[in-house]
Amino acid sequence: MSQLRARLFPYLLVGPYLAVFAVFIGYPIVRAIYISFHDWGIFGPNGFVGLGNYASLFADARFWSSLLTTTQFALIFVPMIMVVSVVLAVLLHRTLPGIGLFRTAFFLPLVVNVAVASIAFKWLFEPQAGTINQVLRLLRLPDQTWLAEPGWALIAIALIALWGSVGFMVIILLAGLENIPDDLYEAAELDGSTPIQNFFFITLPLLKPIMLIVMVLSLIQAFQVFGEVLIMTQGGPFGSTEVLTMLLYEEGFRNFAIGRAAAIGVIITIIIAALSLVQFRFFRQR
Amino acid sequence: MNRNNVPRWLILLVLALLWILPMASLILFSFAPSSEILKDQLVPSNWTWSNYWRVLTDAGRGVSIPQAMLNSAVIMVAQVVGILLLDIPAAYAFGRLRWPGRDFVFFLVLVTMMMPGILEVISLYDLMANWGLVDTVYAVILPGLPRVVGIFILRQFFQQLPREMEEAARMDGATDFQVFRLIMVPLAAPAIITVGVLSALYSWNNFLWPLIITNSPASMTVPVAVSYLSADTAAIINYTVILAAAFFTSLPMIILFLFGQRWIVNGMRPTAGIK
Repeated sequence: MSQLRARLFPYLLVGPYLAVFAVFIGYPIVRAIYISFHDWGIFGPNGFVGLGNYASLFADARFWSSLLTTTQFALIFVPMIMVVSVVLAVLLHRTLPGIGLFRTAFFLPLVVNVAVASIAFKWLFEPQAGTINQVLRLLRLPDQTWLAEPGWALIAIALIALWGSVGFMVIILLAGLENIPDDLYEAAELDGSTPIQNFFFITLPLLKPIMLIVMVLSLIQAFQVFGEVLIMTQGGPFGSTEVLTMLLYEEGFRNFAIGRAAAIGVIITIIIAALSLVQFRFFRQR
Repeated sequence: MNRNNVPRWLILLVLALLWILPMASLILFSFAPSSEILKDQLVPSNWTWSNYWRVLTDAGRGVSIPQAMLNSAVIMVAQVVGILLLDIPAAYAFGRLRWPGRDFVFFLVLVTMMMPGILEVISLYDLMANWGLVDTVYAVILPGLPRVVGIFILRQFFQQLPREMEEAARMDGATDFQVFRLIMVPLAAPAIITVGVLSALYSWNNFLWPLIITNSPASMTVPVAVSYLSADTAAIINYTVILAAAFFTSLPMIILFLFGQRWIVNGMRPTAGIK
């Protein structure tokens, strides 16, 4: 009897979690895949269409354009956050007067939600009274309409995402920096190595595994960017910020083409999984 | 200060000022009368509390910010309690107990962390519609309960707790459940606080799912209500009120951050859960 209880014990502990997990995470994922193979409207399924939703997406110029926009966003965002977070982590690693305040400045955006961050940046980018244009005018540089310009809007959105997430990446990188032994730097300095040389020949190579994690995480984030786009530009101007998640939202929750929306979701998932795998394979080998 | 540190300090100062600029500008102009915002000035020249009065009484578009904050508070308490009640025992079973299928099940749970939330949202909406819960706080609360991040942090913490106390308790005749409840859970207090604080943050700030499942101002959460205000085409006229709403609704999380920064930062480290 007591042996049976001992054997059941783990399942009693994990059971409630797994039940809730199955209903609210497992089932929705499996069902989204199922929906993506159906013609599915506001009142439910209108029949199985196989790969029909995928085929119609691949024949749709708007899908390709939003895939391209998402890729462009990733190509702007990922290098930007990699460089800024590595620089910040190295600057914040060793103690300085006021280091606590400096860290707080970069970590505080972690508790600010995407709606508030977008409102703050919309205000900064405001063409007339916004701080950025005012400073540009003070410096006698040409001002921009930022969010109304196809060339700038995606960059502006990348800046909000950078502002909000760099703290998280810095926290991860700081943990990596702590694992680099101090004697390496001391030995290098005895040999006359400069701080810049230390950075390129000690810090960067030893930080590479953590930088890989930061890269994969920021890539996943880039392919899921949504709230900033919805609030700042709604996909505009002229569709220049219509990323895949925005297209999914439009199709699923405005046009009620739920089968198509599910297919876009599956495609985003496959892209994220494939890119993560490729990065781990490619960089692990070196 | 060491002379080598001066350039580093200056670079950090410039970057830190840049980083607080968006919130600083938002806070400054949340105290400006709406006529101030079309002038060319970096700091408002007149000050007023009236935007905050509007936030508390009538923020516009039928949105009640106090109601949204109440909704978010209820959702936050329910989710933090629910997440801890579900995650603590499950993480203990994953990290500390042996049972067939454990590693496979843990792998399945972990894999879903990589899945984009927007994939789940499509069928969750359907599910909530079937249950008649669309546009209710229950629909916001339920899908947030199985937090995988919490499992991950707590499991790592349980794994590295020493065996000795557990063995001593068993010698004294403690049952499996007593070992868990009376020894392991109290020892895991730091990890439990970390998961609690991170869950509170997640709950208050979560945007995508509450946006999709709520549609009437009465059931909106804070980020949804604030973004709904800013989506008004005439928003620029009321922009100082929107700025005030944005800052006012962020205050609970800013206060949580100022007191709990240590827990938040530790919880986000890749080694979270390891002391």
